[in-house]
Amino acid sequence: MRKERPKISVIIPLYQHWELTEILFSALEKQTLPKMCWECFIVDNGSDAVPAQESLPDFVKLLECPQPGSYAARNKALQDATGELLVFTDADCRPNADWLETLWKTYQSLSSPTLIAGGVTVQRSDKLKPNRIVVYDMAMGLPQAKYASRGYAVTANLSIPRAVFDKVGEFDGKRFSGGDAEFCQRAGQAGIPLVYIPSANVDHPARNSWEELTVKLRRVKGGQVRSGPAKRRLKYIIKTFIPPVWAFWFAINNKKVSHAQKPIVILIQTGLWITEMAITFKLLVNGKMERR
Amino acid sequence: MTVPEVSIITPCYNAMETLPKTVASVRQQSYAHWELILVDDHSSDGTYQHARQLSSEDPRIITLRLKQNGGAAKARNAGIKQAKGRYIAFIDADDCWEPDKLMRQIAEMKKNQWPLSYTAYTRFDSQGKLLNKVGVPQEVNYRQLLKTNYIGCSTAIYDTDIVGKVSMPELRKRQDYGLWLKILRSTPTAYGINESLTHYLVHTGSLSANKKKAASYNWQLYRQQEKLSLFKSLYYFAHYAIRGSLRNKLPKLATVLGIHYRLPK
Repeated sequence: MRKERPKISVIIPLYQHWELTEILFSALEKQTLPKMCWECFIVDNGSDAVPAQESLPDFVKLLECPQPGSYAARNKALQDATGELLVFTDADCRPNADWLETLWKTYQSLSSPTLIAGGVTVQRSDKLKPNRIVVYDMAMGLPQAKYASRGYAVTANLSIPRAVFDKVGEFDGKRFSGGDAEFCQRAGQAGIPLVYIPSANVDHPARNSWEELTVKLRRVKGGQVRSGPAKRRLKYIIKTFIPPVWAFWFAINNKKVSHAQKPIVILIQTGLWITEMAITFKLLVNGKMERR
Repeated sequence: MTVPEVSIITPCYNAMETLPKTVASVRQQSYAHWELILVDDHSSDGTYQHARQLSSEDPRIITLRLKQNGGAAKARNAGIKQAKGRYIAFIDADDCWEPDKLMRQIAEMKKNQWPLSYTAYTRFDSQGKLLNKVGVPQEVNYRQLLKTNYIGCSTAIYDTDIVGKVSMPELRKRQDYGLWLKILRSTPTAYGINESLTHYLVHTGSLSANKKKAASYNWQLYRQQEKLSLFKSLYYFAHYAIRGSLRNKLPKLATVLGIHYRLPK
């Protein structure tokens, strides 16, 4: 069978946690869209140990990007990718079997270049007992629908036509965090719309420890406080010190958790706010950036 | 792709000469549900290329490469992290297994729910000349193991269903000993099969110098890794030193004293 030019290039940056790829690869293996229609790049972002190309499934191409930061890694793959539609996800995600097929159909049905935000469902792992952190993350983690309504999406499940990159440029490779929102904003300003297609879903494992929650917070805050224009940074700094009333409201009206679980969510949200203020303060004084 | 039951970890550093034989002995196993994780510790000879070649020939062989030379502990830990199997086995890139090693050992481990097991082994020199056979006790606990390390790295297998995924302490030497001790802190006993199922390659070199170094690493392991008190460290170190020299110099006496084990005839 002659392999035609792939229609889709899937791009996944990876730092250290190669053990996660077992689930990811088996989910990609099961895609209903024929393999000849897509290619997949894993961009290693400076892990201590990296598998050889020969030890990876046939549909995976290994790239290396020594420059730290997942957005630099994604940009690296843009140079090698040949697909019309660039599909981004993360190494800890498990795409549904019809993920690529749904994205491709959506892409074809759109008359002008459009960003496609797919669904992200935070799932608890079957192996571990759900604790309070898991409950919190299932309720509040990665609210792609909320993001999409504001015109952006997380790279856990975001598809971008090549034409959009040609028009607005690549991701901001210097960022460790928030490069997805920044890119979507740039695209929005150029008049490129975003659609949200929840059925093109990937599952994302719920975090289950306080440390995991705060690692992300640190990374996000680093992105907000340390990069971008001064005005934007100031906005984020001020925002940090305002109580997260909106998040409380979102938690109370959240349908993903039971009524009994809502106080837990609010309690953890409050703890996170306090931590967030402390982190921001530290970053302003002189902290290190978190890239995990 | 089927999930392997046993993950075999092999750190490789400039092992071009010996690795092919090691891998061949794994591929000749009568037991087939394994994956072999070759972790290249940034070799400067053709080891990495050779490993990749092996991976493309046999999908059960997985090649990893460390970005920079990190030592055997780092290499083995990278392999453990990636391992998919329930059982974690080790074989160094200069050792070999008997064809039935995995079948015999895994069967025993399953039947008896052994968390950690080891076997007797045969030592060879680099010319392939048989030096001696080293027997093992039927079982060993934490305190016994502190006195003598009976567990040869290339003979050991542990069950992640019982003890979880345990990594090696990142020491320069004796990391394997450190791992067995770590496992024996969470489970009471490790079990031995007193049958030589592994061939060990003994590198010739300045033996007395090596022994001094080994002794110093042992001391560090007691003090820093196991955090034993000075008194306890001295106690176990005395055991280690006296038992070691008895086993070496007067194996017959050591056997009578029950600190040296022979293989059944």
